Amino acid sequence: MKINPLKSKVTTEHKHDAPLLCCAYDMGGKFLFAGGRDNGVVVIDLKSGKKTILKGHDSWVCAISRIGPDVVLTSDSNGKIIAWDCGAEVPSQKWIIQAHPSSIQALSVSFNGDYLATGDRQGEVKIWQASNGKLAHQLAQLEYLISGLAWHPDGKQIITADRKPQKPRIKIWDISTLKETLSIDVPELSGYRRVEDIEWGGIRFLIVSPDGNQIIACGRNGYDGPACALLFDSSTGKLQRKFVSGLKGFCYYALFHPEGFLMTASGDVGKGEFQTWSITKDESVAVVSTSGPCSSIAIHPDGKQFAVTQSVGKNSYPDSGLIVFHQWEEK
Amino acid sequence: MGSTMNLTSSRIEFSRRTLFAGAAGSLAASSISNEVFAKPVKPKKKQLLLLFLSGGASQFETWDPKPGTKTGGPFRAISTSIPGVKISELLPQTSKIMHRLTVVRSVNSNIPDHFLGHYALQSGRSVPGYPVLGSAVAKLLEQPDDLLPGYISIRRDGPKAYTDVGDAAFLGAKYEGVRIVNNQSPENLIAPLSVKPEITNLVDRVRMATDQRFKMGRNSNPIASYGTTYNQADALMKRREIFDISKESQSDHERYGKHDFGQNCLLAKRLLQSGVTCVKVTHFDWDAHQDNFYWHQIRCAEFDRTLVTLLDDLSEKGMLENTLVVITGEMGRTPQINNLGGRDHWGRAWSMVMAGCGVKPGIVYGSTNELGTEVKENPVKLGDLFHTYLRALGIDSSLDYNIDGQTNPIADPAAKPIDLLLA
Repeated sequence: MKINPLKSKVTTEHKHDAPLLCCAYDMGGKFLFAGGRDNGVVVIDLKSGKKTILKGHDSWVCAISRIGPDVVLTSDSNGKIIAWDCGAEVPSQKWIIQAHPSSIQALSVSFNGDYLATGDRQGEVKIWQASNGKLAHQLAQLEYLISGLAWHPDGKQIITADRKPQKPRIKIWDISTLKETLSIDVPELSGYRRVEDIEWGGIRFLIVSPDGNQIIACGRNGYDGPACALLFDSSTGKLQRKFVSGLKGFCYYALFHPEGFLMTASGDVGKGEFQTWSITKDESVAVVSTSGPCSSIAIHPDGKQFAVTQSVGKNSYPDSGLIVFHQWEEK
Repeated sequence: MGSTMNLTSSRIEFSRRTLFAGAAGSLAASSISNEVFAKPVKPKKKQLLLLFLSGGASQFETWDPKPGTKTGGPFRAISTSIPGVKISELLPQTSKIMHRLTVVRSVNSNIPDHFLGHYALQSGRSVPGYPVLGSAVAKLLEQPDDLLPGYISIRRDGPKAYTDVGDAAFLGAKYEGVRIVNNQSPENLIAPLSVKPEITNLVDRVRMATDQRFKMGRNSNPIASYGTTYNQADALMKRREIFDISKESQSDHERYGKHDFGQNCLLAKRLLQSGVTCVKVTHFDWDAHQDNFYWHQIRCAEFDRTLVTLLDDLSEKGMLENTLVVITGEMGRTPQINNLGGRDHWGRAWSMVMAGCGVKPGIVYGSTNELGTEVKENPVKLGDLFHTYLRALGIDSSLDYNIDGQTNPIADPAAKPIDLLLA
């Protein structure tokens, strides 16, 4: 049964007392995990609607990804990763690793679920065995914060985004040799301010299309520019398309629906939106405005529902979060 | 109005930079000796080192962490060498030398603005027109045999937006900071080859004889000032290598860090060692309106290692007991974290630090409330800090300047030194 990507409705909402930054469903579709600017992992039991806060992190939870049939990974600003076993009524810790000495900004799981990759503030990229959290590989250290990571569907390549000032970069790496095979400069997403010598832009998130032919980098077009996502050809590095939001802020997240359309989440001061795109068109096919900046989207394994995390608060100071569950109409 | 200190006026009517630009052409080439950098001597006089965290460092990510609270951010607090006192985990090296530091956690300057804050935190006043700390101390600690500039300000090129506000004000050009940008020596410290030593020697003798005649029966102050400036320029040319950090060992370059702040602090140590009274080093880019936590990791990593290295060196050389080190910015950062993960401008409850000469080490003064939104104990105004700096350096901050017969309080009479911090 196909869904209509242009029409969705809100089913439920869950408030949280800290701004939320990331979310993911477990593979079985029993739980939604969310994390943000506090140390707790928010878990919503989709059947009962019950909200549980999982302990274990001692810093902000900045990235979440599901891996394998019953496991969800969460990572934090102190470099810790926790694997949560979702087989029971309430998820429990399966393993914990202190993966990095500094903040983990990017976390990505290989398509076959065998490996996860992590990137940190100091430019380290590590590849871990999903089954036990043992280190498998490490890329040569990049000089700049790793702001995005994505596995190629072939399982043989991994793509990194870093935060080089004025020229954020996407790099493709061959896992067998741990060598870089392609580097793409992305100055369009730089927000470099010479006065402070600070890169206030940068790539905020990175994904690869399901067929592996495209890379999508999220961010903001220039210092004052709109939130946008850029589509690159993964074999040539050529910029193919710009998905430009109506907001002046950042595009923080993007993901593909199994039916092929793209979704993006963006935020500005006190407002946000999520959009639906066809990757062959410049204009979005659907846009939904939200009361706070949207930070992430997760699509339920059944493909019919999705969740959006938001930050909520007065003006530019969010002090709480919101998880909004949506359901697409069926065609 | 306090009692009047006998501080003579200095009427120098051109800037220090102009002076040095012109000095090389007019000074005797013969006065440039090959012996350009005398052996370091332990300075007997008191000195000031101002480490200015420009843009405004976050008190939460440095000296006053609030982990696990809504305002605390993602980082942990770590124990320090003062039992029971914790600072941000972003300062691991500093945590080991906290017993040497004097921390004020209750500054309420209430000036959330770069331009005004830069001036106010350095002058101890919010009304314009007063000398900044470096200029004031250069004047107040001046000794008759001082030939090097009293105040040198070190920074990297740009931004020019707000760090160079103020300066000597009514004290005159003599006490303005000599600016060292990107660790480059002031210009024109080497005389042109075309200037022959014998000619310049002759010109110098004529100058002195003419000055002597001119002073007879007249006010000698202006001529004395020009003479002093001439002699200072001459001394600076002779000792120009005090600006040359390539003379420092490779291991020292490594220890201080190869980044701008590390190299600037290495130069600062060299200048203090050479006898310069006041040195200011500006550490840029703390103005983290976006991605505050990312930027503070980078800035704190630079600051942490360099600060400890610098204090270790000053201590080892026996200089710290005579050198007051002041670490401050123009403001703190908001407790609230904005939608871009940044902290904005904030003046109501933030922290600064001192070390060395005249202050009690191992003290944490004042406190903020649980969320860091207000000062809870011992509020400190910027004028109080200015008084405290001067008193730590042995200067009676209740006195007045007397410039050409006009008196002006050295420090804001409405403020007072913080006695509990003074050794």
